[in-house]
Formats: sequence, C-alpha cells, structure tokens
Amino acid sequence: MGTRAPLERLHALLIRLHPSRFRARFGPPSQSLFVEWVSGGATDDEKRSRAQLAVLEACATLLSAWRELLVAPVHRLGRAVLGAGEIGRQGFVAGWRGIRTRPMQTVVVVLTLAIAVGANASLFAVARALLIRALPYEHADRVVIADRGGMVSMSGPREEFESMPGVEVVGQYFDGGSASLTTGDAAARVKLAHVSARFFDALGVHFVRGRALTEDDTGTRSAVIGHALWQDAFAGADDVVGRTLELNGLDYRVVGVASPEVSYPSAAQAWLSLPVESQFFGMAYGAKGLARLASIADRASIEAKMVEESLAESSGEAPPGFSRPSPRLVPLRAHLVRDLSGPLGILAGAASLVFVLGGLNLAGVWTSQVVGRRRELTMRRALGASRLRLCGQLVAETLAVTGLGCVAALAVAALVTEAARTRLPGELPGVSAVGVEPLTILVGFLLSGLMAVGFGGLAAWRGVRLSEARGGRGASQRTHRAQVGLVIAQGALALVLLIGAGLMVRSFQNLASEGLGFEPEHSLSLRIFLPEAEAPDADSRRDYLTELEQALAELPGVWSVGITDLPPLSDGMSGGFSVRRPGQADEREQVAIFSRATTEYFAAAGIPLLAGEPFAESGAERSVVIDAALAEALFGETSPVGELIEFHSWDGEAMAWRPFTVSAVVGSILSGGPRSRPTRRIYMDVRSGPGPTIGIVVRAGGPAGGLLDSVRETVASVNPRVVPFDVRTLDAAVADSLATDRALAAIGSGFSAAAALVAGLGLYGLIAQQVARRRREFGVRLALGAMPNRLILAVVRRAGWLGAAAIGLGVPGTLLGARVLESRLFGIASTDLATIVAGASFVLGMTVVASWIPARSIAFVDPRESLAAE
Amino acid sequence: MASQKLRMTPAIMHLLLSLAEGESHGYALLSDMDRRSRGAVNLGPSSLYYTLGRLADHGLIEEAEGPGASDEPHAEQRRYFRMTDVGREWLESELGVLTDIVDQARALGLRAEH
Repeated sequence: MGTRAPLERLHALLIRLHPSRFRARFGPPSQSLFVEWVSGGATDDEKRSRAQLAVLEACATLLSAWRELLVAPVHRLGRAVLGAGEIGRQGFVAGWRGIRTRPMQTVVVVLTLAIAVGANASLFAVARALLIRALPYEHADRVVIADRGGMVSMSGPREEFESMPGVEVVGQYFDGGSASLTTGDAAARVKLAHVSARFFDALGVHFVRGRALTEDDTGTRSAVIGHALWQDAFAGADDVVGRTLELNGLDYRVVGVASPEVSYPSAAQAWLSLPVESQFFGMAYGAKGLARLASIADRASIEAKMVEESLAESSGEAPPGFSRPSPRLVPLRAHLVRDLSGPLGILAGAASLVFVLGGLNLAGVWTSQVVGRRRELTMRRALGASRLRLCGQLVAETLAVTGLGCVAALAVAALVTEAARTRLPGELPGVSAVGVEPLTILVGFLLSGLMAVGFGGLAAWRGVRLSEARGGRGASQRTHRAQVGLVIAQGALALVLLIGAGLMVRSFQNLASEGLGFEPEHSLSLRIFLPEAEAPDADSRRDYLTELEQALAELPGVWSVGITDLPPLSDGMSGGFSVRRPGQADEREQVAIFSRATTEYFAAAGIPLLAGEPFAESGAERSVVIDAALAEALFGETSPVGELIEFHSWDGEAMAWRPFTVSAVVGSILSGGPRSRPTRRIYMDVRSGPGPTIGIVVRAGGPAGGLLDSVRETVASVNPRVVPFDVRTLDAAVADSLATDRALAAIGSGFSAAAALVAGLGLYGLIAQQVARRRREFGVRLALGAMPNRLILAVVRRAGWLGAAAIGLGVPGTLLGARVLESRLFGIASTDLATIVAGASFVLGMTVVASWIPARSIAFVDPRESLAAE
Repeated sequence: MASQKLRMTPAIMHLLLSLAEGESHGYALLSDMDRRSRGAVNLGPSSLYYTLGRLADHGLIEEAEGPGASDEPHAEQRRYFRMTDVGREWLESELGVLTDIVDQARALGLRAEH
C-alpha cells in the first residue's frame, strides 16, 4: 500500500498532461477507474502491479494522444499538397497541350504578358537602381543637403550649423568645376569639386588608397581622385598616393583614392583642397553644404530651427519680385533624383494602367476559353470533381502559357532596361546598375503569377459557375456581359493612355518648335578654358582668341565664328546686374544678365540684329548691345541705339552706376532651352576683357556635325594644352535639353501603342468568338437571302457601340488623370479637345478594324455547310 | 469509412466482444478482458479510455446512459458504452477474416496453442 499513493498522484499528473480533448472526455473516469482497478487487486502485490501497469500505460497514451494531435494535421496537409500537386500537374499538362492547339490565343496571351509584365518589370529595374539601391556612402540615409530655395547652399556659417544638436559633421563644397588634366603629351577634361576637410566624413566615403583631405591639406594643393581616374590616369598604380596630378598646369598631390561609384557632387572625378582655384570654375558662387545627422528623424526639427534662425537674421522685406527662400535639408537620395521622380511617377502610372489592361485582356481570353469548354466542365462536375479541383486545374492550365509569357516579358524587360541604361544621364547614381537582376526576374515571376492566379482565377471561377448553371442561358448571358464589360474597360484604359501619350507628343512638338531666339541649325558650339600658365592676362587671352578665331574661320565650310562667355544651352552662370536709363527713378530699374560677345557671335549663333551696329564706338563711353526685351523695358517704343544706359557694377573700389552707349539691339534668346524663362540681356565686347572660360560658336554652310572633329583639331593645333569641352552642334544641344520630354513622349507612345494593341486583341478575340458561336445563325440568315455585307455591318456596328461605351468611360477618366501631366506639358492644356477627339477617333477606328477582321469570315459561311455541321 | 483507418488489435477485439454482450463500463470491461484473454491482454485505465475514445470516434461504439443511480463506490464516475450496428458489422467482418484464416490453418493441419 505504501507505493500506491505516489503512483496514484503520478497517474493523475499524467492524465492532466494529456491533450485537453482527452482530459475533458475521459480524465476523471480514468483516474476513478485507476483507483477502482487497483483496489480490485486480490493481493498487495497485484495491486502494486496494477498501479505500475496503469502508470506505464498512461505514459503510452500520453505519447499517442499528443502524436495524434500534432502529427495528424501534418499528414493531412501533406496529402492536400500532394493532391494539389497532382491537380497542378494535370492542369499544367493540359495547358501545355492548349498552347499547341490554340496558337492564336497563345500568341495573344504571351504578347499581353510580354507587354504588361515586361513594362512593369523594366520600370521596377530602373526605379530600383535609381531610387532604392544603396548609395555608395556609409549610412547615406543620414546625409542631407542644405538647400536654399532651389539653389543648394549653406545656411549661415558652418560652425553655427555644426553646433546644432543632431548634426554630426558638416562639409562644404564648390561643384561644377573642370580642368584639363595633362598626362605626358595627352590632355583630357576632368570634372572637379573643391571640398572642405570634413566633406568626406559628412558624405561617408570609403577610400581604397590613402586618406581623405584634412585641415592640414588646406592651401597645399592636395587632391582625392576617383576610382575611374585612378585607373585611367595612373593605370591603377599602388603607389598613387603622393604622386602628382597636373590640372591646368598646376600640380596637385594625390592623397587618396575614393572607392568606386563615389561621384558626388556633379559626377566629380577629383576633389581638390580649399581654397577654390577660381580658374577651374569661372564664376563660382558660394559654398554649398551637406551634413551628416545623428538620425534622419531629426531632419525636420533641425530644418525648423534653421528656418527660425534664418528669419531672425533676415531683416526687412524681400525686394519686390523676389521671395526670401527658406533653408531646407534635403535627403541625399532625394536631392540626387530630384529631376527623375516626376517622370518616373508618370511612367509608373502608365505602366500600372498597362498592367491592369493586360490583366483585363487575359481575363477576357481565358473566360472565352472556359466558355468554349462548358460541356466538358459540366460533365466533370457531374462526375464528382469538386469546385476547388476544377478551379485549381483551370488556373494551373493558365500557368503553362503564363510561363511562356513570363519568359517573353523578361526578354522585353532586358531590352528596355538596356535601352534605359544607355540613355539615362550617366551622372545619376546607380545608372550603371540598371539591368535585369535576380530581383527583377523574381518581380517578373510574381507579376506573371499574379496575372495567372488573379485573372486566370476569375475566368476559372466563371467556368465553374457555368458548369453548375441550370438551364444555362442566364449564366451564358452573364458571362457574355462580363466579357463585354472587360472589352469596354480595356478600350477606356487604352483611351486614357492614348490621350496621355498624345498630350506628351504634342507637348514635345511644341517644345521642339518653340523659337529659341537663335538658330541652332548649322551651328556648333564649344568651350575652352585658358589656363593661367598659357595665357596669364587679358592681352595674351585676346591674342589667343584672335589666332583661334582666324584658324577656325579658315576651315572649309565655316561661315562665321563668334566668341562669347557662355554659349546658348550651356551649363553655367552669368551675372545679373541692375540696369537703368540715366536719371531714371529706382523703380524703373531692370535686372539684366550680363554676357560677353564678339560682333560675329550674333551672326554665328543666328541671333537677329534688330537695330544699330554691335560695339560701334561712339564717343568716350564704351558701347554695349542689348536685347529686344531690355530695350522695350527701358525705352518702350523709342529706339535705344545711341542712347546711354547705366548699370550697377563694381568699379574697383565700390559699387557704382557706370554709363554705356547702346550700339545695337539684338533679338532675345531663351538660353536655357524652350522651358527656360526669358531673361533680359546686355552684351559687352568680349575683347574688352576676356575671361579664362570662353565659348565659341561656329556657323557652317551646311550641317555642322561634320565639322566637330576638325574644330577639335584646330583648337589643338593652336595650343595643344588647351582642351575644348562641350563640343557639340547646337541642334544636339537643343535635343539634349529636350531629352526627358522626348523620352516621356516616346515611352508614353510605346505604352499607348501597346495598350491599343492589347485592347484591340481583346476586342478581336471577343468578336471572333461571337462570330464563331453565331455561325449557324448567320448560315440560316444567309440561306434566307440576307446579304453578307449587311451581316458584317451589323457585327461592326455592334462593336462600334462597345467602342463608344469605352470612349464614354475613358474620356472622363482622362480628364481626371491627365492633371498629373499638367506640370510637364508645354503649350497645351491637359483638356486639349483636339487630342481627346483624336484619341477617341483612334479607339473607334481600332474597334471597327478589330471587329471587321473576324466579321469578314461571315461572307465565307456556306449556309449548307453550317447547317449540316449542327 | 473511418473504420478503415483502425487496425484490429487483440485489445480492440476483446473490448468489442465484451460490448457485444451488452453495454458495459470501464471497470467491467477491464475485468472482462482480463478474464477473456486469461491475463494475456492487459490494459490500464487510460489506455482503456483512449481505445474506447478511438472506437467511439470511428462510430463502432457509443456512450450509453447506464443503469442510473447506484450505491456502489465509483459508480458516479463510471462511463457506460455500447456497440453500434456499424461496430457489430465491422466485428463480424473481422471475425469472418479470422475464421477464414483459422480454417485455412486447420486445413494445413496446424493447431492453435493456448
């Protein structure tokens, strides 16, 4: 008896450890039976033996009960997976057979997937490389650029900014510089930035050789070079640190090599120590700033504090016409892709529409397939196939053809991304990484799978419902209505894309035909930088320019050669000055851009001379040329030629009003391209004081492209150490300035053409199916004397109504959707009636063609044959 | 359908044979099985109920109300079971298989040992 009580407790414990289902049913009876059964033993030994056996058995049932509870569901799941696998295998085999037996539908599905998935996968690849991929800087998410009202700039002195809580390091830089790098006898143009000692810490740059610039380097002509420059100029030499870099004849000591892909700011190839070497920059304005924050979450609070301090510092109102910009801290990535996010957003919208349109098309094609198999599906349902099994198999059937479409889509994505990589501006971060990566392939698979499961699933469910329908007619009608709805939706989406693309194309045409005030045809421009070592003063620069001008003018085919400081459509800054007529009140002052030019420049660039003779000497005052806009603002209707004007400039000691005589008036130009704002302009004679940065415009008798090489050679022949840069025809410069608009118009047109094709295929499929289904009816009607053309017309007319419905749905959608394009459009409203009418006409025409092709077969129906076939 | 997943074991056979006589409770079933198998088949209380639960899940037996109030100790906790028609059918079919096997063994001149 002594051991019974512990065994009874142990048994009770074991029963409590059983799964709740057993405990609830048999827990108390088991324990009660234990007591009763053990008590029933004849002897103490038998009782002990019974108790021990009961405890052992309780252990066994404990294990069995838990095993059943835990393992059984796994077994069931395994069986379900095996069952689903078998359904999938059967469906896939049937789908693969369908690819061969339904070639037309296969082509439609593969084309649709190639377009819809290909467009989205390639857009994903581009967006990932540009917007999502990690930047080559340590914790780049914490780097911000100090931006002041569109112009990147430091807000206040560096020390004040750096002392703000949450700001770790502040760096300063001057960007946009360039110089000629001389290695032996060869010279090349290198993009430069001057940076402060802590610039690299703030940006988070790693070095493959040497180190960053330090405070000790300031004033010592030290340089960090980029990885590519290390490879090109030093052949990747290990001992590059300490060697010399000759820029415009000045020696810079290399202290480090930045890791690959580091190119901030402005695709710099080398970063030089301060102070700024002004000859590398021409007109360099103040330092720009970037900072590394302790946490990007602090950005808003630091920015708010900067705004507060900026307001406290600024006293008085901003001058009329000017607004006082607020300092902003822009995350580095947002700053780098600021010009891209808008166009990418538009493209993402278009690609999404194409995806939805493709999906609707697939749903239509697959629905028409299941409609054709209604008898088979009904029979399989009657033989006991479950809804799930039937649905699963129908979806699996779509997977085979979807697989083919996915491969085609990835091929399209590879082509499109390659085209994008070569056309995107090279200085964008991540452009070199644009391409079809494993993640893009995965996205392609996922999108294709989504299409198959989503839209294939819709069609499969329709098929299952059809197979269960009693009487059939109502279900058929519902299915037909659904197909019609799909076709209308496709037409509407295609119309939205067509009108969007039409607006982009019209906008691009407007931009391309916009008068710039100069004639880019038959002209080329180039820029040179005269190193101080080659031409140290104004006289030597003048001599050089005279020699170069003559050499260029002697080239065969050259009509005229003009010299300026900044050719049209070139990156760079020109100074603005206040201008007035002598004795005029302050409020009549105008702000004008100050440029330098030779007399021949106007003819070379095709800027019309409206009055007077440029730079003709008149009395003691120096003469200037003004453009028509400034002439009108200062003189109104009266002729300004021979009149005096004054502009406010530095005379060596102080700012003062200096008088000039207007010698001529020329046409106004849009020097920044068609989207740039017109500016008033004053030209001074370049010979009065040429700077080191010089622009040359050459006008030829015919296309200027053929002269580019000989112009380069001529510059080299005059002085081999002067390297021309930005050598291009003005036509090419205009085309470059419109690159984004052209790309948007081209890609938009491509998307809309694809959309129209997909929608047309959808309509074609629907009408072909209807014509095939009504073949007997047509046969009867033809036998009764109906004219084939009238039957065809009836089919086309019915399709025309579908087109009209699509237009009715699509036009309001377009009016809502086109607003997102508004900011990119030029010279055309997003509600432009002509474009909307053209788009609607196209959809209607497409409807007629897509229905007429299959409807034509009615004419070939043999009444006897079609009657006999039934 | 469910009975296909249940294997006929000596313990199940004896339990069903006991229940074939009429409804019974746990203690009586254990005693009866001990007697029938001459001590060869031993089940403890938890194994008995676990097995009865599985037989009930397969529809071979079902719980019964029992004779009602009783003065016997443990009577309140006793659970009564009886065989269902499905259970009887299954038992008879299994017995048929066994009989067939025994007949064939006898035809070969083999004799069962007890």
